[in-house]
Amino acid sequence: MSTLNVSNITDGTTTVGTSYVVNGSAKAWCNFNGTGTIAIQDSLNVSSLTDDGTGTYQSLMTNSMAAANYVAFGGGDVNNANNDLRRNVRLFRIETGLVKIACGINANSDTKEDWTNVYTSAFGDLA
Amino acid sequence: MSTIRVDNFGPSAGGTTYSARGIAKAWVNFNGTGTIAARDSENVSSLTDNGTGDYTLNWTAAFGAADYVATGQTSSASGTIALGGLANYRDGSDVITVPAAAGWRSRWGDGVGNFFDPDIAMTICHGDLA
Repeated sequence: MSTLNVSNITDGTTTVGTSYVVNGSAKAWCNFNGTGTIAIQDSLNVSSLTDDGTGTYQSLMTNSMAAANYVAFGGGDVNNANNDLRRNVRLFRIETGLVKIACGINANSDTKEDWTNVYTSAFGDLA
Repeated sequence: MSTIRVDNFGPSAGGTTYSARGIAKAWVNFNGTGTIAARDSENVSSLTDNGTGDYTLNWTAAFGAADYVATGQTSSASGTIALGGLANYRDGSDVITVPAAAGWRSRWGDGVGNFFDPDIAMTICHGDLA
């Protein structure tokens, strides 16, 4: 394994401090199938998933984040004839080694549902 | 201070892939009202307006597969509190919003059941380019 220690990286036009690359890169992301037997379709730094019930999942990291103060995003889509636009993804708990995800319809009474594809990404410092 | 100039980089054997695979491969901030236009972007060749709250983001360099991560968020230039966001559904008769290698047809809802044109739409995608 080799380590390159430089201050900046450039493509010949735009130069950026290496810290932006190191600190700005996602430390984990995952695209997974959220229906039936859930499965990772592509990922970075994600060791496994757990299915916690309808529309509720955990994405577990191979290498944990340093603290539970990182930035995480979620998204996805569902193949469903009910075209309710109030659907949403909520990352309802963020821990150093995992995020907990809920997918469903935000109405007066939330309805969780399994989504066809679920996406998560995380930015911050690894432990 | 040092600057290194390279066209491509990646991990050596045993190295980590956070930089190569963790870097966003496409992002855009665009105005979705009227004549849509990107304010700033990376790896976005063009935007297509397919109708209310319905845009195709076309990548300059395609992703290797349709299994990348695509997320988005809305804001408002006027500071209006808006609860809209990506409208996450598809069905056999409607538009497929799942990302494709060459682009992503995204649909946006106002949070109360209607498609809408956000004046600030932001997306970011992570995955592997072709």
